[in-house]
Amino acid sequence: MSNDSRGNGANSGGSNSGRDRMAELRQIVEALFEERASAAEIARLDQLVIADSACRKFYLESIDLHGNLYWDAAQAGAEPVPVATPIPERPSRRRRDSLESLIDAPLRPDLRPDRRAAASGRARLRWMWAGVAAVAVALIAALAAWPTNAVRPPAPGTPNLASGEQASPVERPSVESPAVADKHALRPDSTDVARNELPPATVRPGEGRSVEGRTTDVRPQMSQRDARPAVERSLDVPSPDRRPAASAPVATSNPLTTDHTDAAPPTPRRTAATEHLVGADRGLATDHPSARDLPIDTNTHVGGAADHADDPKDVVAFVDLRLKKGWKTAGIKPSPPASDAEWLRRVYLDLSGHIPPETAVDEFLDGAAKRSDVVGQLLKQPDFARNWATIWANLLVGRQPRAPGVSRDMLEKFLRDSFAANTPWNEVVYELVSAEGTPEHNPATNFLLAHLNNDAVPATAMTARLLLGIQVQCTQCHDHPFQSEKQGRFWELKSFFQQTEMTSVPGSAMGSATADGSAGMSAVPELVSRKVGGPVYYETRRGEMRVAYPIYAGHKIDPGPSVNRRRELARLIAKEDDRQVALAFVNRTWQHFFGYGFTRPVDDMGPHNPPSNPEVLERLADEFIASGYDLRQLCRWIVSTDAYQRTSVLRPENRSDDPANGAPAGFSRVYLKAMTAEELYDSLLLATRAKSSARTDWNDAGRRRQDWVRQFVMSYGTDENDEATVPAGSISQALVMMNDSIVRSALAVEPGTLLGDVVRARVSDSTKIRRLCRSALSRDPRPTEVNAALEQLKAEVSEAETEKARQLAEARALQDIFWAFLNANEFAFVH
Amino acid sequence: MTRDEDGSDSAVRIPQAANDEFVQLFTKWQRRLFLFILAQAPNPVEAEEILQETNLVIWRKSHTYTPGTNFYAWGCRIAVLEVLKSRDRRRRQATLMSEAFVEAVAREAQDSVDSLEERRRALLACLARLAASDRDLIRRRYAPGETGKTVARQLGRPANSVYQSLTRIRRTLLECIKRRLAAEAQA
Repeated sequence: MSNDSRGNGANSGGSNSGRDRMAELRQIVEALFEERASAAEIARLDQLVIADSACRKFYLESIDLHGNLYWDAAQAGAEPVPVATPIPERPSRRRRDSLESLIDAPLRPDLRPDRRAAASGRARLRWMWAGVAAVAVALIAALAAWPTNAVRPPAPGTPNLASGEQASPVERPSVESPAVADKHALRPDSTDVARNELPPATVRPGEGRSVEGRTTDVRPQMSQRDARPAVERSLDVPSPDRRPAASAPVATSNPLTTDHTDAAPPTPRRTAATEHLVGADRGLATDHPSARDLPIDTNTHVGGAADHADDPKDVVAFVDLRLKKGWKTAGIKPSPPASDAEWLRRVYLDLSGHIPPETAVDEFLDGAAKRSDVVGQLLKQPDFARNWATIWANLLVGRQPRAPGVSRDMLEKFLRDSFAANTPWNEVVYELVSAEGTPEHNPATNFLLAHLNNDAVPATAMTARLLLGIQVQCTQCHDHPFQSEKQGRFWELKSFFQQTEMTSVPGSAMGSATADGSAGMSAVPELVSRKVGGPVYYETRRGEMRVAYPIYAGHKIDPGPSVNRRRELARLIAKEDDRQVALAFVNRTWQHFFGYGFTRPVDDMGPHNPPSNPEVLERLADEFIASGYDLRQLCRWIVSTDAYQRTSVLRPENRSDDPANGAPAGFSRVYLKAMTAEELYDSLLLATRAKSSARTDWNDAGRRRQDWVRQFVMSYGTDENDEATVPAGSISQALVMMNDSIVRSALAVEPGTLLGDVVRARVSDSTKIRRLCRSALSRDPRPTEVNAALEQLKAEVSEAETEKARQLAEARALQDIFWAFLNANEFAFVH
Repeated sequence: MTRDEDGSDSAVRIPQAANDEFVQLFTKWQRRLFLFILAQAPNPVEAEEILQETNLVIWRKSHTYTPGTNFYAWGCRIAVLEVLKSRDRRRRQATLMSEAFVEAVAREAQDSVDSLEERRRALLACLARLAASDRDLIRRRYAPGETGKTVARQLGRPANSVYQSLTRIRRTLLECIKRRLAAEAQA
């Protein structure tokens, strides 16, 4: 089409013959399709389409043709480009081939609509939307696929991922949203228009892209299609490449462990959990022939003569019995036992904060260790203390404390030391609430220092919410509308913080240790208690002035100036006859393991919000107090319960037990949890051994994790110092995960990384595939996955002509396969 | 209290009630939503971007979708807004359709949804009947990232001649599709 003819069309705006108009329109549309339409032509198109319905129809038909051709061609996939590896790009033959087959056999897909749908779904997702929504589909599919396990059609194909710059969850929908950038980064070879929109620097040479393009073939089968076949371990390839020096399952060298040496935790008393169970499900256990150490029939468990039949002395037996009763009452059956692989992964994540290392998976799946052995090992690991310190530091000061001078690092270290030494929790609470001094001399001060803004209102609210499981902050301004909470109660509690102040002292030589990265800090905060007395004053909604004296749970404190009120409060709540600290801690710990606590929200306990299983909560709290507020013991009880041995998969028989839909949690299964950002980070490093090639010291590693994690954090900037992380599993988090440099280095095939080792190992292909699967997903690949992966391998290698090319092709294929495993929904969840 | 310790304190929520049905609907209607958007923003790359934005909103709002209702119509409502948003972003670009155009096309495109599947099937059949060289040209042209210009360079042909060929082939395809549909309607 020449410029003349186009100009012609634009100028002859007055033509009113229908045929002329159509010819004109045809030219403009053609110009449009080739991106050559001028502004005048666009204006004319505008006119024609608005005015004339025949033109509109033609326009839409043309658009359909253009769009369908474009869409279908996309099916063939993107140009493969290797990711972060020295592997050279290979010719894009495959793309051509598949488009060829589409075009040459156009009727086949029509005859087989199911197949077409699958193909178009998969390929479409592959490159049309570069990842963003795609990831969402993957995650949604995962959420939907696991818990319900019912017979379901294959989930739609899910593509992998995107690449791109830091995706900030907070600014997602903005104009320069990462989605747009990602997409271009993903397809640097798209049209000029696309290229012009971005500074060249952001167009990155397709890291992530190739992976995306090439693995989709494998992936849907892997992570989606057969989310949970009946036979878990059907593929049992002997593994000749077992590491020579495989140590105990959990005591393996773990790059994540702290430099902290663990004080030996108290030897746990052996619970009777193992003799106890729900008999009804034994039949189901045949699905999991390997599930070891499962509790056995409960009916044989009869307590001592003093026991009622339904009041066993053993705490785990008691919990099991109560939960079982609850299931009966609710008319549900619990989910079947989790396979060993599912259980191992979960218990690692819950206790240690990361997935099991490959060696631990090998040891457990191939060995004879019992579940209780694993639990015992994990409780002794330094990672246990590290994990719980992370959890509580996040709760106490957030991932990104805003108050100046507050050091999350030091608080975390304080917690780590406390948990490692198995310091009773009530003592930790006492320390936190009564702390005085500067962060460097007393790291426990960081908690309150982080919340002394706004006249210590947040300090009051956080202490109540986190440590006591009580929400008083709303009663700051008014009586609670639904509960007996009076406004006065908040102020009575706040009255304990009346003397508390933050002052500044000149920074010492150690100042740099407190400054969280911000060098040159000259003053450090100090937490002090002034010697003042008297009540606090507050105003009711009617404008009346009231006074509040320090009163906690009926205990009145001398309001004189010589009494340190905060210390008194700490003493009161840490006392064993005040069960609130224990109740709050048990509830939250239970939530950590099961995904839901006994109350929702977990930190709003009180008569207005009765717990779902009051006896279980009360009993655990009593036992927790009796154990000396022993976190390890509490963890051991919880992971020994029958309920914790069960799969996270929802069955038709317990479909109603779905707290996500608002039902009270019945704990007939373990609810699916998205990994936290920290878990995701540590697990990625562990699975890929990315770090072992660039190992640095612990502090540095910890800081890097925190930097990474901060991408997910947003502070609400409210009076209550709230902070939210976008949970793993959200679109944004997935994006960050996929784009991050650690993921790229994780896929390097250098020696020392998992991938590097697997590529170089002299073992069968299926063994290699199994190693990758065990490393990423802590389980054996399913036969369909093995087949898909083998096919992928074969297809790659078949194109190679020389030995060297063959090796490269194989490495590339393994890289794709590993990526598919890491990128599976299954990876980012605790299940 | 804005915070929910149950872990649901997310900015972008994954709808927990999301079920297979939604995922399937979502997947099923991707092509049509793309075509719907393309009609209003005729550059495929741009349309893809808008689709992506639309998809994000669809997920975010999935809880507002009532199962059993018309997913496509629901999605179109979201897409229309995203198209307008994208227009605002691109205001400075010369090649922009008017708002009236977008509206008119959106209305019509939504109505013509029923025949889309037939059209697509007809297209596949028609592609098969093209001369091999024509089919090859179409294949090259619509390969990801290609344009008429790049194809011309690949083939060492003048751009104009490639444009003319493409125009001819697309016209052939359009007419073939029309014939097939007419024949089907009679049968």
